[in-house]
Amino acid sequence: MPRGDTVNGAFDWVPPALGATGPATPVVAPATQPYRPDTVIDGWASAAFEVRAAAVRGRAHRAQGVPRQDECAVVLHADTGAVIAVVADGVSNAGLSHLGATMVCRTAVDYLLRALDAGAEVDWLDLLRCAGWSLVEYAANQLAAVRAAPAGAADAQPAAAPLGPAGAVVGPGGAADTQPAAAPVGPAGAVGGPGGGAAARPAGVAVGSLGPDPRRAEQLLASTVVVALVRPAGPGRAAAQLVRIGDSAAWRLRAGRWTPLFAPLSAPQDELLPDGVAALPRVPAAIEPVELELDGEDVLVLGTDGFAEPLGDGAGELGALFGAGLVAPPPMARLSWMLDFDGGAHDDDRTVLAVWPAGGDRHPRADG
Amino acid sequence: MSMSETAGRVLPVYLVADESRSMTPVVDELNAGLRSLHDALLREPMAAAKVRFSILGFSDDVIVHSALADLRNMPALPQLSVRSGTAYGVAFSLLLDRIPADVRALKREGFAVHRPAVFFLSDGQPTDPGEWQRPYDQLTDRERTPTAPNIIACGIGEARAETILRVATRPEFAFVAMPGVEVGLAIAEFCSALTKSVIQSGQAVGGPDAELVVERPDSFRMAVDVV
Repeated sequence: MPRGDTVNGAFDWVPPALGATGPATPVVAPATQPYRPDTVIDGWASAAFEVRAAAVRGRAHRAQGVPRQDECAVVLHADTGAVIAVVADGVSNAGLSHLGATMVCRTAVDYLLRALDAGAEVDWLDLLRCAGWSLVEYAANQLAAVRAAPAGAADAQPAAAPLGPAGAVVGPGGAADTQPAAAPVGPAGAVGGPGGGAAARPAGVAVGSLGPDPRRAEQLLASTVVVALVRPAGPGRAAAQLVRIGDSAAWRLRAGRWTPLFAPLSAPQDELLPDGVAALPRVPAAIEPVELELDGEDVLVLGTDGFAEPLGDGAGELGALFGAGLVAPPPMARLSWMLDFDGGAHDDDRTVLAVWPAGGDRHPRADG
Repeated sequence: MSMSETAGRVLPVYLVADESRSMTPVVDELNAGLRSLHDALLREPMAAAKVRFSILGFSDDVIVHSALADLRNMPALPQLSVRSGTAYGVAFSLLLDRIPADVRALKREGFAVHRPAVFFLSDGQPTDPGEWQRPYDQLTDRERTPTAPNIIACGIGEARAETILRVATRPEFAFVAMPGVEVGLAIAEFCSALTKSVIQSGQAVGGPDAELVVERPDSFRMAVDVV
């Protein structure tokens, strides 16, 4: 087990240390409005389910004063007993993507509540399109005056930027100037100097004056998402459907074994990481939900890449910590404590949302 | 590495700097820029941890001033100097040699590796016209070289825009100092861009097979106006 748990019989609140830990870093207040807390913790129990969720700012964003870009939502549909579970991860090069992640979660929840109210089959592609469109309208209505967002936002080159660094250099000047051959770009403009930041495109001149601009929404608000709808299917049993956009993930956790529910985005033999992350407001032309049955031994776990990446195949320390810690619903603060693990280079925001079918033959709590 | 499949993500960065004689007036500016890059990274150790930095100086040959360095462990960055010609080809040939091997080495250490980024700076036209394109084309062809880097090219002095555009792997990765701009300023801006990029090695948006939502779906309802 990782270091950090009990000291002389008393609980030690120092976060669990996994592998090589990083240097101690400051926790800087996030420069954002509206207010956004470092950590959110949630959980509840219904007749058919018990749920826990936590989203925690990673050490890199804490040190840089960047708000938590991960978000989650877990909602009960009272009439059907179904659970709606969503996790989202704002793309770091989109400067206001923390707001995008929240919009995506709320829109997905709202959509599924309405579908369940209507007793309709869920149109998953339509759900994702609506979640994507919420970013477009939010950017048009609420962010009309935002020209280029602080720091990273200016760097987002939708669909173009192969990865952050290159995107960052391209910066706003590069984006604005699409004919470098004819008009060589001066470095001062090209590298996102003070004047360059606003130049990505002619942004709104007055609040509310902008029409929908999906590209701008992507630059400011892009977010990944995993959506799960979990319906009761008898005592201790449930039927789940999931869709996702991007590199957030989901697993069936059973007896400490982690089984991923989505195909990996890159193969182990691939030389390099993918060049960019798929994210709303981009959606594929078609999507099929992943469907699975859960029984009393199963836990459905959703997570962002800040958890998925260090988890790997689940055979390491993090997989053991959460495999044991999620055998049964832990105290809420315990989940957030586990999730605040110090994983050295794994310093991204991290989110875990877990759903237990209730009434099954479950092992006793594994709190200790 | 017991905790996971990977030791984290790293971005290999290659600064490929012209060390031809004509760089003499500006080489001090370039070295000063590298010092500030180093200082900036030392202030952001978490960012520095995700970068492996190589400095190559090219002239008629290439000198490897540093290779896959973890800048947190270096007391100072090596200094560039000036020598003779401006043979682009030797630089691209060396990158073609090193980058696949470097990626393999990093993966053996357990890292997941971002597509490498090359920052190419020259103040002159190539002295090997007609020769440098062959290693360049192989280096940047993702079929033949799966680890093909993104190349960000900056031209100052006598370097022509069309040459810098040919070197950059995307048109928007090409930067040419405007006439009349002091070259020292251009170099300072280049180094500042390099620093910013290296520190912000974050995710970029854009994945395969996905289209922007461009029309309001009929079923759309704004869940909340303010988050």
